Amino acid sequence: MMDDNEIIGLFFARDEGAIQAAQRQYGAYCAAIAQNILGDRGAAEECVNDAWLKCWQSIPPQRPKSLKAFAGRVARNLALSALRAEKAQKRGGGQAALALEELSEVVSGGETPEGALDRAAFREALDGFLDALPERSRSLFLRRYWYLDSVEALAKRFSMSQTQVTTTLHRLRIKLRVHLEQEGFDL
Amino acid sequence: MKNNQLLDLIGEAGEEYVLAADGGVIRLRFRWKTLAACAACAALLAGVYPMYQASHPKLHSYTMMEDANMLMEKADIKALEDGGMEEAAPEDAPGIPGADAVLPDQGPPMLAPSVNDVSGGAGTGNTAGGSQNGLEYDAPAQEEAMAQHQRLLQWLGGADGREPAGYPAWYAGAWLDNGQPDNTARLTVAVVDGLRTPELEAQIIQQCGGTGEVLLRGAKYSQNHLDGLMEPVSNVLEATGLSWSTGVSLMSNCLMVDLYSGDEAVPDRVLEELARLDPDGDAIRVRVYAGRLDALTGGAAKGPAPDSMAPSQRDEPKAEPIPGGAAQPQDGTQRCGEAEEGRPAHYDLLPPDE
Repeated sequence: MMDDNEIIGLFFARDEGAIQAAQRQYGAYCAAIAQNILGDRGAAEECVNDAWLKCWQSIPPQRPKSLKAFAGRVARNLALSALRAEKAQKRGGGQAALALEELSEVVSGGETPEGALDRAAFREALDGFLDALPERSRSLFLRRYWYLDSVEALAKRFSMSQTQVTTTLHRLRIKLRVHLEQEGFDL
Repeated sequence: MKNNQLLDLIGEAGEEYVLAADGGVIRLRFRWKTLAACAACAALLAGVYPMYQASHPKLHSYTMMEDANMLMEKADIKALEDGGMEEAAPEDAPGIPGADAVLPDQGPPMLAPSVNDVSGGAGTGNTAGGSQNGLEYDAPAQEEAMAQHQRLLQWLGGADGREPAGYPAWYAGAWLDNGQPDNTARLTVAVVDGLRTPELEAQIIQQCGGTGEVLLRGAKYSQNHLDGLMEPVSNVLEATGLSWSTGVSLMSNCLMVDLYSGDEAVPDRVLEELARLDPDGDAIRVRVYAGRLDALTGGAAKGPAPDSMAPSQRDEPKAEPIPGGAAQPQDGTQRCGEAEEGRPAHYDLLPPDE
């Protein structure tokens, strides 16, 4: 089994074996994220393939510290884009649609021009928020809003009732809103 | 900001957090401090409660009666001295609570109460009507019930219509109930609740025989239990210096204790002891009368409390006679049963010709 540095080395060497190695190593991980968002195995696999292509295009010049995190993020972003493209799914099922509904509590819903948002500052604020959370709450928050796990899966994973999960997430969203407002973000 | 923008931005979260969230589940930390604090509190309570109990022992409840001096009027004493109770309507007059309280001159006043408690112990009990001291009473027809009672006693081991030496565990007493609409007495047999079975009930009815209906009633305590309480209760009361009387009331299924406290409070240690003997608080019923017994009798009647004469009891619609029992002997007084020591107890339900 190859480690991240070796696989990234293959990417830099423009060796197509890099994609196969990355797929073997992190294919299931990325597929799980994509499936959480899209709710469809076929669409998720397609999304993962697109993710490796995106990685091929991005590495080099980028040299990620963690290929797993990098590939997961790419798969997540692609899956969310694919979801938006599918208007029907946007309205209907899938954990992304539910997570979006929940996040409506945090934001006002007003349009924020992409250029007006300082993504780096936001990332810093978000990390500050996550850093202040107890490890278990942080993990719960990210499993829901990063990995888009279902409430049922979270309840099982964290040995909590679904009501406890829902309540904890609600408190975390309120904390996030307060934190971002304190950091000067216009939500 | 829109929610989908926020969802995208959450994707920017630090890699270390994202990767950590994909790791093993972080279990809730076991709160040793909380557990230790709870355990300490529990230990404290477990230690403190017995100490509290020791310093605040449970006291038996009691009923404070009216001033005893007010209870005995001269007219009542005069009636006793005259040896007659004609002035008291038989249906209104109670039996003799605190059954050993007797008037030596006249012997026990015999009345036919509305309900006859026939299972008394060593006391005088109550007549079931008939003639006593030359007095005739209009008792309800109860020959059949009396015959049933005799058969019941015989079945339980009593010879010649006498009470048996011991009772079975299920037996909680028997008495004649005259409160029937047809003015015919019924034998009522009390059976301890936990031991009451249809088979036993059928057996009781069969053994009583006769044509009259036998009434069965549930009770908490057996007669053995109530009789067994008398001695320890008497021992407790002996040391008090108070006047007192006790008697088993089968119909109330308890041991009645009457205390004449004078102007003094009943000592807590007496109530503690009674509470210890009667943890549930319903096997012993304590009534406390202010004023001393001597003041009640005015010298006309010596001996333990003739509380049957208490107007407060006479006022009760159905006073409960308490046959049997022991009373504190007074100097120069006769204790019921002592004069007849060595002779078997005589029961009022014996047929008139015996």
